[in-house]
Amino acid sequence: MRLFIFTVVLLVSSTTYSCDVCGGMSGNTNIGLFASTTTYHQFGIRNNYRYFKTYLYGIDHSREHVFSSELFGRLQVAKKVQLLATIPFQYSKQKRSLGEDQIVGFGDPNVIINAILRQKIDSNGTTKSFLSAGLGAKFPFGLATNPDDELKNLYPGTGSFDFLFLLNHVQQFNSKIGIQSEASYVIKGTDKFDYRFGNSFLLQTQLVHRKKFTPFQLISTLGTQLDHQGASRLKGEIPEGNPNNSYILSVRGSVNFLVDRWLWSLSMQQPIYQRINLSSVEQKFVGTIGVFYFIPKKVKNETI
Amino acid sequence: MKLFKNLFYLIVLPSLLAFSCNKGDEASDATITFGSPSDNDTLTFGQELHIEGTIKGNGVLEGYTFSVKNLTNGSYIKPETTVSEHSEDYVFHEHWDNNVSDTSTIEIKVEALLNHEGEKKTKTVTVVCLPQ
Repeated sequence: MRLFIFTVVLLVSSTTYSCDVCGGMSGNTNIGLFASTTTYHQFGIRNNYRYFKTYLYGIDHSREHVFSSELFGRLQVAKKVQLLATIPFQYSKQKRSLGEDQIVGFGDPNVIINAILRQKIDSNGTTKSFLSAGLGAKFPFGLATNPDDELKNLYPGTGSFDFLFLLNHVQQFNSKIGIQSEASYVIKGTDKFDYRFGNSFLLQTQLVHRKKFTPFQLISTLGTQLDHQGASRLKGEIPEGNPNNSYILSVRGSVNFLVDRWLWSLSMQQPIYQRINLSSVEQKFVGTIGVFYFIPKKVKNETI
Repeated sequence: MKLFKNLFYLIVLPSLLAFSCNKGDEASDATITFGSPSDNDTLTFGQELHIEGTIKGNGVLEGYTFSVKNLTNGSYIKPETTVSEHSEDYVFHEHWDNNVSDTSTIEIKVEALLNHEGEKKTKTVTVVCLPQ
């Protein structure tokens, strides 16, 4: 009986896309810790590592390692307008018991116009309250593939033109403690094969603690992150197996060192609840190392 | 000191051997199921051969071997690879793009390694690959 059930499951199961949410398909973006710093331009590089485990027919199938490096820039183009841009590069590897595949290439760049809706600065030049909203686009210039490729999700690009929305809120309670929340939503377009990844949503909330030492400032954060990825569609229909539909709730922490105008950042993320493509994929670990540089604008009335 | 040495040889070592090699958990049979391809499938030139399936033992298996061979010219497309991790079940998954220059019969062979005695269970699937 056990064998019969197993055989039936095997015959009706469709081929699973490996490692959903692994590659560039998520497309969610965020400004990061210094979103409310408006008298400096910010440039840097974010290096991200994600590790997944994939199952096929409920049996251990593969491990996926995804390394991405992202050039990040935030230009304060006007008093209440910021221009954000990222150019990602990705290396991903799927390791199976019989072999492995690697994919290397540029991802889809994105550009966002971010409008500062509210900003209250105290007499010390510290932002007490900040709210911004962004609207942007992701361009299909990155490496992408066709829907029949089982490694599609490991590619750095989606092959589609996407719209991005971004909300950022900062509330500083005193000189040391504040809270920052970021939400982003991506409306995915259709690629040339009439394949469309599902829209994705990210909500991140973190407590931010600052402590000044000489000659640096230590900023530590602790919070949660919710990622949701909708199901993909091929020619308007959701393929069998509900590919890429996922929820991940994670705990996230970071330590950041601000030395002069350099920011060194290390963050780690651990899922506490997840359901990725009917539990056929598990996200095991996410870690990020970033380094950023702040360039002051002409008028300097705010502290970093 | 001698007493400890004797105790080690008499109790600890045999116990370690017994636990590390529990014959009761070993498999005596396995079911090998191909999800893809089906036996006697025909692939046109450039078409991808998608190999996917499972091996399920009635106990712990020693591992499995996997190979893809062109029976027409005797060459291996995927040389025999042995996975020697102990497990009750495995999934195998490979790809190859048909690039043959003559009509060829391709054999996919999966062999479950059942136990220490060297017993095996084999399943083969053949497909016909057409040239350009």
